[in-house]
Amino acid sequence: MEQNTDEALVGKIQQGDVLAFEILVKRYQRRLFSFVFRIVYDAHAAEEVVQDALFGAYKTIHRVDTTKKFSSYLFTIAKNTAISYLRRRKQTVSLDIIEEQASEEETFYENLVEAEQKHRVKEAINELDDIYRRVITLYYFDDLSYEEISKKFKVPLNTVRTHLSRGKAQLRKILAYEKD
Amino acid sequence: MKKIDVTKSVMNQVVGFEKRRSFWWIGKFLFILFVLGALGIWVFWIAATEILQRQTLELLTLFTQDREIIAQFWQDTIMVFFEELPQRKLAVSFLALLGVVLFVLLTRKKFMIVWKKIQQLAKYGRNTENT
Repeated sequence: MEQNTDEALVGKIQQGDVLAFEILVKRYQRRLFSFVFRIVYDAHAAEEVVQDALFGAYKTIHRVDTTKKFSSYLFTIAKNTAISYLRRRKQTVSLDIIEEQASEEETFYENLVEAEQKHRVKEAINELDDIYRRVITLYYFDDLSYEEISKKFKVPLNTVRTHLSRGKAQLRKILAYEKD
Repeated sequence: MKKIDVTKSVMNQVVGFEKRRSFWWIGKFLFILFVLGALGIWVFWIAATEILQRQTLELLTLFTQDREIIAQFWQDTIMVFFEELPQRKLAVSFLALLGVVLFVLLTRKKFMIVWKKIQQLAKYGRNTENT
């Protein structure tokens, strides 16, 4: 179940699988903590806010649209919870600045996650056998068709297909191994 | 940066919340089911008693007679039979029992979800006890 996407987990929770939420908590708590910490500048308070945000997210999870990104929803709740916390504490910091900062942080973290994933895939591609790496790079990154690749390497079309399929299988193995 | 682990505290909150919500829902479900069911059965009971007291069902023994008698009297008998039935009471009882069926059909999906949640909460409770 830990391999499931966020959206799949949310779907399961909406169908009554309460314990699937534990995976989401484990998956996001640290990222949320550093995100919230940059708003409240207090580790203890950040921990409290993360707890409240996660619990708040659970309470409204039945309204979450599983076709949209769950992380954005979660970070928005965390941002709002952090702002409410600061309001309660009557901080003198301008809330507009905080909201702006939080929104930047949110995008930053989303980009970071995306960049991390891209980086992992690129690294894995570099580990592939030479021929598979070249075929995959040409097909997926340079947008070349099967015919163009077959002409380039002077190999039959079916060989390109085979290389691509084996390359993807190898890539999956590398990524799965890294995950473990 | 400090590393945190709020999994247990969040899950405890979630489980507590879900317990209250699920049991409240089950309570409401059973209450509505009980009220509608009891109303239906109670009114039907009153209607049935009335029918037995008036011996309305005995009118139907006409249909055990000879064909000629049935042919002559069946229309009158049926009319009297329906007139003697406590129609309002039977209608109320029918509507209440129909309500039970509709209520069960409409809430069946939600009931399955809540039931699954309760099982999960029990599983969480067992796992917590074991650790």
